[in-house]
Amino acid sequence: MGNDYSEQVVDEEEIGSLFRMYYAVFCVQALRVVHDVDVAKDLVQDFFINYWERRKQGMGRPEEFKHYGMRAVRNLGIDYCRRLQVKERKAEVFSNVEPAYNPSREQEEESSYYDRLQRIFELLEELPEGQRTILKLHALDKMSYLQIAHAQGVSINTVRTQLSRAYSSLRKSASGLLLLALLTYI
Amino acid sequence: MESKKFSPEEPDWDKFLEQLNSDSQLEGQFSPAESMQFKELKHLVEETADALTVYEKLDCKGSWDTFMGKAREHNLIKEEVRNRFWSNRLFMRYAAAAVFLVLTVGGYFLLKTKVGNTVEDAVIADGIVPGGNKALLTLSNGDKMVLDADEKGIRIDDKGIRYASGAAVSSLSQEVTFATLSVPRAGQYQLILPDGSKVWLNSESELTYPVTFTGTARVVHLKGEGFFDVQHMVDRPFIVKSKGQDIEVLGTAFNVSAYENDEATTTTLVRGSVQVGVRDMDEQFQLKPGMQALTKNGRVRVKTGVNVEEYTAWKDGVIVLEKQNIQEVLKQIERWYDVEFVTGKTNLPIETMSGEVSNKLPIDVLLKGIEGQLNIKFEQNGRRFMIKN
Repeated sequence: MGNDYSEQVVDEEEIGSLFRMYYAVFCVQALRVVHDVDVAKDLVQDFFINYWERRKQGMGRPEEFKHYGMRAVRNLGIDYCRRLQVKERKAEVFSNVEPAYNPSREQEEESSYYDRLQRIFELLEELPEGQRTILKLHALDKMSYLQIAHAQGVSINTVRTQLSRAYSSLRKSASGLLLLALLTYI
Repeated sequence: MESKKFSPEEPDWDKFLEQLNSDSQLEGQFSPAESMQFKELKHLVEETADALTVYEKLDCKGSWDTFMGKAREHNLIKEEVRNRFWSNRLFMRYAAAAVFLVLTVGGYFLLKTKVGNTVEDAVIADGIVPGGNKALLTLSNGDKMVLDADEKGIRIDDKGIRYASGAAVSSLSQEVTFATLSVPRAGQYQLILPDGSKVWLNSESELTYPVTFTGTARVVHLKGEGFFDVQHMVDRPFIVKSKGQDIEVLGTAFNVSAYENDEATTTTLVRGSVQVGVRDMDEQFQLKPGMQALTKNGRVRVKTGVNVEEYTAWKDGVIVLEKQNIQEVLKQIERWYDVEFVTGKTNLPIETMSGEVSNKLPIDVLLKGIEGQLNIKFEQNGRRFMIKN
């Protein structure tokens, strides 16, 4: 194994851990602008490619990676929409469709929904592996304590403690946002 | 268990989460403050489920693979580099290994999968784990080696000592004639004999055998329980010597359970045919598939139409019970989880149990299941469980 190779591995490790930590949050950031999951995924991948290339070219590691990434992904999204609009305008020559842009209450709600998603994703990344899996089995797969205990090979008591902890942290992270949502919910 | 003191703002998660999972309508009995909190929790669970759905759509792992493809196109990496970052990352790809626990008493009855309010009674048994691959190999020259728990089986032949996976353990010195594989409580291990025959050893069992088979018969000595899948050799019978009996076969698959603390030695035939002979007696019994010989105090009783699975499933990680009495069931649990049951003056139920249980099941779930079926309670004290009515 030459130096070249080990350097490359270090690179990939760095990228891998950043990708793992911020991928979902960045996707939501892109979604705010592009409103399309596949496009968002694509853009976030592109962001990481850019970042990797720049690092290889000697760029230092940004002090606030999350902040740096959020802005970059948003910009990529805006670029994408511009390019799309150019295409659409060309298409509009042949149609009479008015592009409707109309900031509304709906959009505000959407934005706070994305905020919340990002907070949950960040929290999920912080949760220990076991708690995350158990949380998923409970919230999404609607499994009972016993079923989770079976599937994970842990005791029922472990399931109870882990779930309480996970929801407790989720609740804390929700802070004011959830209360707002709750008021409309009731 | 840690204390469950919550600050005034902290909801009683346990209570609410259980309510969420149960069908009973306790909800009406909540105080206004509690029902507010319950609604909040319900909302939180829904919101989490929603977020997790989005998370799955984002397909982090798949996206990473696509990303690595792009990176290769951009010449950021040249080779197919090991994809290590996801190896221990099973989030969202959890093993959906559904484990079905069916315990029946007398007739068939499913263990309730909804825990509901009875979860309070769950036996706290953290620290007790199901058994795994464990064994000690002792050679006739006195060498001892603890075998790797990540390996499933061991083989000794003219190529030396190797794991069944092919990994070498050591060479075999000339002076060694016999080997003994001992499996402790809460263990299992496989071995491949020099003739290619396979043996699965159950917990608390031991097999002694020659490192090369010489002479007219292949003779091995068994203590405890083993499943044998014997290579057919026309002119060299395979003989298993165990408590009170000798089994002679040509080529066949069968299970022998010959624990010192069990009353009877049982031999169950899966395929082929075997001759079961009681030690020091001329009588021989021929078994056909599905037949079982019980040897007890020099007498043999032959049962026909036996559910073979029940006696051999242990080697595949399943405990199958068919109309077994509670003492037998507890003995199996003792061996696999390395625990001890103390009956004291308690009268054990006389009902038999039937069902299938994965041997990876946490012991508290298993015992809870038994408690639910029989009118007994288990009180834990370390690795000892007192049985109470």
